[in-house]
Amino acid sequence: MKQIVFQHHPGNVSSIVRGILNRLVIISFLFGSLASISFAQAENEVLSIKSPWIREAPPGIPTLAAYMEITNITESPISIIGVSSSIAKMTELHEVKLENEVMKMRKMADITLNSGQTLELKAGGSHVMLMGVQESFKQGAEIEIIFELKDLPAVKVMVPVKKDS
Amino acid sequence: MNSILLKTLTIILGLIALGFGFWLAINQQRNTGPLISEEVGIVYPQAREIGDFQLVDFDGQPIDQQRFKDKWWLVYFGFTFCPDACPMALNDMKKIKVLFDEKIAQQVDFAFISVDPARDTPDRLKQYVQYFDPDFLAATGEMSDLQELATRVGVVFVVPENPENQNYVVDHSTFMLLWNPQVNLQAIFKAPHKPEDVVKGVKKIIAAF
Ligand SMILES: [Cu+2]
Repeated sequence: MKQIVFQHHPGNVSSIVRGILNRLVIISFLFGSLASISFAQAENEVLSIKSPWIREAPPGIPTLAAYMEITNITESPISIIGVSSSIAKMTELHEVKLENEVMKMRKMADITLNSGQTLELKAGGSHVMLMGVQESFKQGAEIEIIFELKDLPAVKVMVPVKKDS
Repeated sequence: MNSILLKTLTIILGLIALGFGFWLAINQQRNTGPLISEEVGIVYPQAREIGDFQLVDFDGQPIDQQRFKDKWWLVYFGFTFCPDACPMALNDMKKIKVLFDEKIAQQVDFAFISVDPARDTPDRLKQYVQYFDPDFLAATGEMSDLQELATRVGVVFVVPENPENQNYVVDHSTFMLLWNPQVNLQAIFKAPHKPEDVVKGVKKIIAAF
């Protein structure tokens, strides 16, 4: 009842306050969305991804390895709790151990990068392994890999497919 | 009395001669030095015997040691679902082939032997190996035959017995083997295989044996 009364009397002080409040709500909304945009950018910058690439596979081979350097560029530790790609049935972070000249690929335990720490995924060593890939990706193609992080939004990386040099 | 002394002296002299012989042999080996450095690999002065074996080539045809006779072979054991070590080794083989001078190139062939016959059908193997070089050979075989052959050439591999799904991985040695024209193991090259080092090594080994 009271509200209707106020709206019918524009000159009323309460109504002026209300108008200001409404504007404030709109402004704060705008502010909020602006903030969330810049926040999103900041979130993408929690990890720096350097020299990403995926080795082109021979025809008919459903397994790919992706390499890159992942650095935590924030002040606090970041945990990578998962990795995925829509093109693969199964995606895992693999570490490679050479024991008595025998190569063993194993799923990495969840990884925590301290501030400034780098996870190096490079040919002949640790990699993101994409398994059950149905499509054939040739040099020049790009594949999206998503890293899920603890308490932070996921980080998406576009990784180019390249032939071994 | 005299004859006992004579016998003892003969034995002592004999032992000294034997020792000297050994010393000479060891010294000579030291002077010539190894054909390849320890990081690059191992050369067997006496090639390790491989013996008879049975495989199936990438056309589905049975092959045995005769297929490898009268040529030197660089051989790698792996599996095609391997996204890292195997394609890298095959890419190295491709580079090695290009780097060989003509005379050596004519004497050396290349083979990929899959230890994962459950997934590596002849068709898949052919597509796989020819992606790297149309001259490369690929083969696989019965699991028991593969185990036997691998053991004889010092290669270790582990295929999971009851994999949860088709995306299992196979542990395997990363050696590049050098088989001689009598199909015996002459040398192994360790990973990472630097093409230049393997090329130099193979050339020296072929010249020496
Ligand atoms: Cu892997």
